[in-house]
Amino acid sequence: MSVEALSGTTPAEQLASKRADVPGMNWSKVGWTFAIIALVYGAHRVYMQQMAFTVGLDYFEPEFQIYWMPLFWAQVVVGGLAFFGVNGYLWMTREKNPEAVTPRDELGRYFGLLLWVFSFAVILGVLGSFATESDAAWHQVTIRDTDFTPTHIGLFYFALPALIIAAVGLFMYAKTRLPQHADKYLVPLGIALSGPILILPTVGYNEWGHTFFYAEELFGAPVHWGFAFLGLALLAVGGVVVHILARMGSLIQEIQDEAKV
Amino acid sequence: MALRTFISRTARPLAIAAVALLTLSLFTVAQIGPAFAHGERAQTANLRMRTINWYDTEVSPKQVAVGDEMVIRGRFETSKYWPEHVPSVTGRVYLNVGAAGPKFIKIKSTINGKSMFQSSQLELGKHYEYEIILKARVPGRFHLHPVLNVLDSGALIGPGYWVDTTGSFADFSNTVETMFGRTIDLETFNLDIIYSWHALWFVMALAWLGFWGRKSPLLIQSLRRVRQKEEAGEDPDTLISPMEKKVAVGFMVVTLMIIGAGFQWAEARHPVTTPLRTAKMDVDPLPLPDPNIIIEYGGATYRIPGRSFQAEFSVTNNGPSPVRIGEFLTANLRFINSAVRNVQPADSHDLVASDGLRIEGGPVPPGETRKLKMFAEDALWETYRLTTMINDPDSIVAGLVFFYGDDGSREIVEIGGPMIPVFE
Amino acid sequence: MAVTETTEVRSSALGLRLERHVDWMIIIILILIIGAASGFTLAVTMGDWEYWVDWKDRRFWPLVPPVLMMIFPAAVLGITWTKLRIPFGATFAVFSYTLLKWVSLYFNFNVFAGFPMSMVWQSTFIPLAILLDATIVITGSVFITGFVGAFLWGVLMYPVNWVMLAGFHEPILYNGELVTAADLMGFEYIRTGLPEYVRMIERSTLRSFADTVVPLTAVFAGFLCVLVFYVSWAAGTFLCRQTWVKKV
Repeated sequence: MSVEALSGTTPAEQLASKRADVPGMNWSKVGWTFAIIALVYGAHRVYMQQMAFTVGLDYFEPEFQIYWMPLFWAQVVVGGLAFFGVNGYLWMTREKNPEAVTPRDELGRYFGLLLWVFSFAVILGVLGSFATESDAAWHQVTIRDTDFTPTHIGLFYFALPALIIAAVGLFMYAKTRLPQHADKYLVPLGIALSGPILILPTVGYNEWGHTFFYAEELFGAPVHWGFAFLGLALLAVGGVVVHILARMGSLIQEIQDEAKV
Repeated sequence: MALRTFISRTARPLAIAAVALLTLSLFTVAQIGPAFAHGERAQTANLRMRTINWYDTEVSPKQVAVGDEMVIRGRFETSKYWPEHVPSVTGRVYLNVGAAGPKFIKIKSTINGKSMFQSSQLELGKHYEYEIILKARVPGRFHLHPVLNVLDSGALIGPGYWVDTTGSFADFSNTVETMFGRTIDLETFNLDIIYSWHALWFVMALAWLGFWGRKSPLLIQSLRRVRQKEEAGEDPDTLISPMEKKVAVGFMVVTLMIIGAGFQWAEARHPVTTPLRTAKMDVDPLPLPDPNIIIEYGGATYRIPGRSFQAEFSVTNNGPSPVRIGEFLTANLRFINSAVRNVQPADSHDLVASDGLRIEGGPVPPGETRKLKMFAEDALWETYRLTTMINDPDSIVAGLVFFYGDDGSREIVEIGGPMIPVFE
Repeated sequence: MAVTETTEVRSSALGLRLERHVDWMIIIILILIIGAASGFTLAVTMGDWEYWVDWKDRRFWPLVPPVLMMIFPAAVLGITWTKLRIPFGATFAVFSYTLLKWVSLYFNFNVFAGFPMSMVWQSTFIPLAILLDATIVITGSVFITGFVGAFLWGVLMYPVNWVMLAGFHEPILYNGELVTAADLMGFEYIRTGLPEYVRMIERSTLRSFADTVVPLTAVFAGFLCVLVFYVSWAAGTFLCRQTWVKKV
């Protein structure tokens, strides 16, 4: 169907489709976003591979304090700075006049939003499957000591804060740049983002449970179900995707109609 | 074409990241050091002092090549003073190994000669003898511990020793013969079937996804179409064409056929299978004679500044020869009375205080009762985080006292009771 | 058909290009988000059965994994069907999950913790997802899809995966004891934090009922899958609603 539409394009329309002229996805930015996240987490991962089973088995060994705790504290500091830096920047550069945004600009910002969602998705990919199960593998072969194990430092204090920065950044981006979001909130977006954010406080329940009443390392144990519940919040991503498709669809339509006039 | 743009624009950052990661992993491979201990020091003091008292632990040989066997053997006593709030060995226990993962495989384990392939159940206040036979799998330097997992209490860890494995992991294989004469290597068993089966279904999934994603652009157009249908009051189901329904029927039939054929194939290949094992292993305590030594605990103090543990007790010797205290053992820490025994740490992490025990009150002659004062003093209390025993809500300590007779005999008696901290 | 004319959406080259950009981005994003979200949720509920070969029993493995596994595919199918009439939601969800899970199993359990892959492989749910998707195409009915497709999902999980598991249940005489290859791997490859007694396998008295353990479990799993399908479908489509609020 679309192919017929393509064959019916006029020279003017083909001219309008020149890359420089219209907003579109900046693939190079997509590539760099993925590369940077992969590189940073990958470096962390390589470090873990080398240092976890050697100097990471016991919090109370001096080696742990040399090789692991500085990493933890560095993550806390960098994470805090990044959180306030990113959101501060997004707020300072916010759109002051949402009504005046042209469809073309708005479409460009939706592609920007997609880049944010993409960052969120990549970090979630790292955290959800990869970092979480590194912790599963770790606990089943070692003896639990404190809340600071190498895999916890990678999961709870690195991947999870990174996900929170991406989630809050995504929200701030939508709030400060997209006219539809300027004076109201999209409920599915709120649910999809607050689920992962709440995982961090749930770590408190998890560690409390492991200390107080649950001594086994069964990964599917009820002490972990708080995490599962929050993972379910991501079902609301469907609502976000439908919003993005609907809005971008009508913006693209508007721009096409504009080009035809 | 979006695909070409996509690839050309993303290739460079992805390539740079890949090369950087590869370089990084190559660089750090050279940095592998020995595995340090262990994780048990985070456990509360009473969990370590009053649960499993491991003794006579022996690991031999301490240097092996990949594929060679190594034995951990020794004894443990299940404490009479097991904390009430901690589920004990009378529930379920499993004899295990602490080795930072499957650096070894465990090929046999026994308690008092009974196989510990499954979990078991023990009695409190008894002695048990265990043996674990390992086979070295991965080269490196590892800290090996015997471990007793206790249901709902976690892993209770025994003393650890450094061992070295030489050779190459590539040389390791783990073959075993099934009752039908099939020889299998557990390292790679069935992987060809697992990978092929998954690959087959990946192909099917891609075919299905590709079929429904064949229109481009896909998503926005589909959303529009459904909305337009709904707004026009029509049934969006008409968007599915008869051809598409036929394809779906085809997929369904092929899928069901492959499932059926696969199951039949598996049944034919393995006509006889047995379920997983869950039997509990029963084991009796070591049949030790009644002790000749009877101890009446008279209290203990722990002086924090001097790292000095002091206990008083009266000892009655019903045996044939005079006895002296040679060792006090608690939480895997061995305080040795150098006047009686010469025990040196086997390696950097062997928890032996060779001159850590002092006894006031001398040997106990046969048939007599003496009041003894025992001083266990060493920095190990601190480095091993046992000073936290003052934080235990019930302030009860326990440990094994080793008596040595002049005739070479040895008697092991557990003491236990309240402990008062001294702060100044 | 006359219908197509009214739904014809005219797009210029520019529009087509932009829409394809959106397609690519959304598809990549959804593979990651659905794969990771379901991977995360399932790891902390049914993970153990999917990590270890000596957890794949006749009693819990054909029950817990298929029932929980149903959550995301049903919801995603609900969204792709009601909003887009693209009936690949379940397959898409399972495909994403399986893909990310293999990466995780390989790097975490093999490369990091050191277990052989033959001990830590996952079940496949892809054929079950194709059946579910195909059912909705053929019937066009959510109700029947739940009744037939979701039921088949629960019932067929065991036969689908028995292909990979059967060999591990061949009996072995080991030091005078009857064990299976799966048990032997669980015994040999040291898991300090996961003792034998933690395994949730073969519990209950059902095993004494004339060898019908698996069929009974499969039918029960099918029943639960039907329920989970409807609930999850409803949740997925509900969370998809474009609800806006002024205040939070």
